[in-house]
Amino acid sequence: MSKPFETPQLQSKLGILFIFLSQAYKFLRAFGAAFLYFLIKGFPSEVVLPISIGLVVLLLAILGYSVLSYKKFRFYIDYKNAEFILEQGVFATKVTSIPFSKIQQVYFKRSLLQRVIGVNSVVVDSAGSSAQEIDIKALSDEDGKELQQILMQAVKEEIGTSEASEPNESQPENTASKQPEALWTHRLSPLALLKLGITSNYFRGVWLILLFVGSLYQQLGDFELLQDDQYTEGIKGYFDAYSKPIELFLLTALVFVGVFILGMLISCIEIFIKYFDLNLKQTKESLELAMGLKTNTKVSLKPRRVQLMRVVTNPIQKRLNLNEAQIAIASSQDDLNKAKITIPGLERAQVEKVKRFLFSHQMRPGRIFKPAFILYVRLLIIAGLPLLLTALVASFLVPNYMTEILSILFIIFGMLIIPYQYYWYKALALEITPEFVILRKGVWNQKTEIIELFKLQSVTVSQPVWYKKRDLYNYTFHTAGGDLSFPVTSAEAQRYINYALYRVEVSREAWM
Amino acid sequence: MEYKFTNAPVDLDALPDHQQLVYTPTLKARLYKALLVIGLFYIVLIVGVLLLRTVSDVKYLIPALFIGVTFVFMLMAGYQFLLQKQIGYALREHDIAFRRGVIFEKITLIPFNRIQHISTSAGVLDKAFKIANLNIFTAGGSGSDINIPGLNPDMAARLKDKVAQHLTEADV
Repeated sequence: MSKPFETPQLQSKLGILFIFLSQAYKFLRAFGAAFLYFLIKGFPSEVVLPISIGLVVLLLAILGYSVLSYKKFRFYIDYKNAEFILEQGVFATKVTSIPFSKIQQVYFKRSLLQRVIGVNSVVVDSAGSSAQEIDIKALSDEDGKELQQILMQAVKEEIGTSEASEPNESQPENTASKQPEALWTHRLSPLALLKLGITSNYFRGVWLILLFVGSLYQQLGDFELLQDDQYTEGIKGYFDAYSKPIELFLLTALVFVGVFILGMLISCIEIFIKYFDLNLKQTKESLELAMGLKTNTKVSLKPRRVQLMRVVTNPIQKRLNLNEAQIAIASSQDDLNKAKITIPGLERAQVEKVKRFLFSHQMRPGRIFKPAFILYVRLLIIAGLPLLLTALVASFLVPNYMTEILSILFIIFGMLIIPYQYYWYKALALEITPEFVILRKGVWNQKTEIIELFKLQSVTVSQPVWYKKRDLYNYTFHTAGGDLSFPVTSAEAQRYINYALYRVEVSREAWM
Repeated sequence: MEYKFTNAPVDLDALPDHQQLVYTPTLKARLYKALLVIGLFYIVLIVGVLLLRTVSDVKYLIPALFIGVTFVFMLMAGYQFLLQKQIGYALREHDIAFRRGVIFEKITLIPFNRIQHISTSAGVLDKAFKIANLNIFTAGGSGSDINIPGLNPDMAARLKDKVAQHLTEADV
């Protein structure tokens, strides 16, 4: 007896019509402008014939393509390998297969055109990035429903067999991590928000001011409120009045302080709006987060979904015991920032609590790797290149001022770049523990990124030619919530890559 | 089923080492296809340069362009020869590795139990050269997906089946 959908199936016959119409629409859009031009201008009589012949040929070609495309679009279920298979493509062909166990959902979709023709899209979605999902665009109602039912049934059976053993395996850890912990809540008072605002990064605020001033100035210029000569004269008078160096210095200092304070104010306001009345609560299954002036953010975090956690702090906030936790969850979006949840103003103890709840394993010390010293040299070279370029350009444009320019550039390089890059290089560290990969980085904003080894998706090891002799590699850990990249490290870490792979491959835990 | 918790220390040196992997090269046809594409582009550009001769009277512009374009395309073709030696895949019991890149050698390792879905594809040119691509997708974003070009179509289908079998085995 043959099972349903075991043999390759075609779409509903209406599919030809659907493909034809959507292809024709594509052409219409491409040539729409030319078409409109002729419609308005009126067709010159001598081109009517060739154009209509061309049109007929084009339509026939599209029709032929549609029929072929329809015939080549076949899908079936491979019961032996427990997977769903789709073949498609007229000239270029493609065969896609999704194992039952990886199917996330099967759902119906309908565009206006599909509604008119009377067909459905059946989408088979896996956790991979959204572009590659299977979309069967023209199925009749019954066929679609049947396919959906059979696939969902198959998925359920598949998961059923594998899950039967799973709860037993994961239970000891889960209960161990949950039981001793009382449910707890964390609130941010307005005072804490104020603290946060004052100690956060003002660059954003300063940047907003600059943008605002810039656009304001431009608009004033547009309305010609500032007459050109008047304006320059104003500046001249202004410089005359404040030509004494001390006054000039004081004025610039004042402007700087003003911008700084404004930036701080804006940062504070932004933080108030975003995080007002933050309320974090841990229930037995999830972490509930609500915040915002109108409570516009409300999230429920399940440990299973969490892929990557980042803890951010800066030296001042560290002293005040304020940490920000950013949590990336698995999503089918390629844009990983959208799937990120931010919880500011956590105390260290609370960060630990969150970690203990979200991660199924305990943190244990591991092997710490530091990047090779050559990375610092490389950072210096990369940061130095723009300066070198400036010097070169300056030597052509203003050769008379070379000493001044060179000394400024040297001061920038010596006082800013050399120490900054040094601290950045010093701060960079990778720790691989039995269950985690932990990456630390950042000079002022100190970031700690944590992923659980068994939630890794894959690992990439790369090596530029010029590091071959030194036997240095760049390591990237891919998760469904973003990547961790660590540059220029000894081959010693390769053994830990082997361990990471081993850890994933023996894992039976559900990673999302 | 009774769950027995074990946590024996793992000896890092006893673990299979991915650096010891022997990579299977892709078919020579991949190289030929790449060279053909480069050659076609080269011809188009050269024709463009020759057409330019009729409108431009800047001295030495045409020969300079000609030499420049030829040099760049020689580099591109040379790169493909080197890449052919580099590019390859290796299958293990529990994962698949893919190596590519000449100046930046890159090896991506995907455990079978993290593969979301697989596909084989062949463009028009691929068909003319009788080769196919194997695409493997994970949930880790585009950085962690791999696309192995230049496989024998049968081989691609076999690999796909093999990986698919591992997928179902890995889950149960």
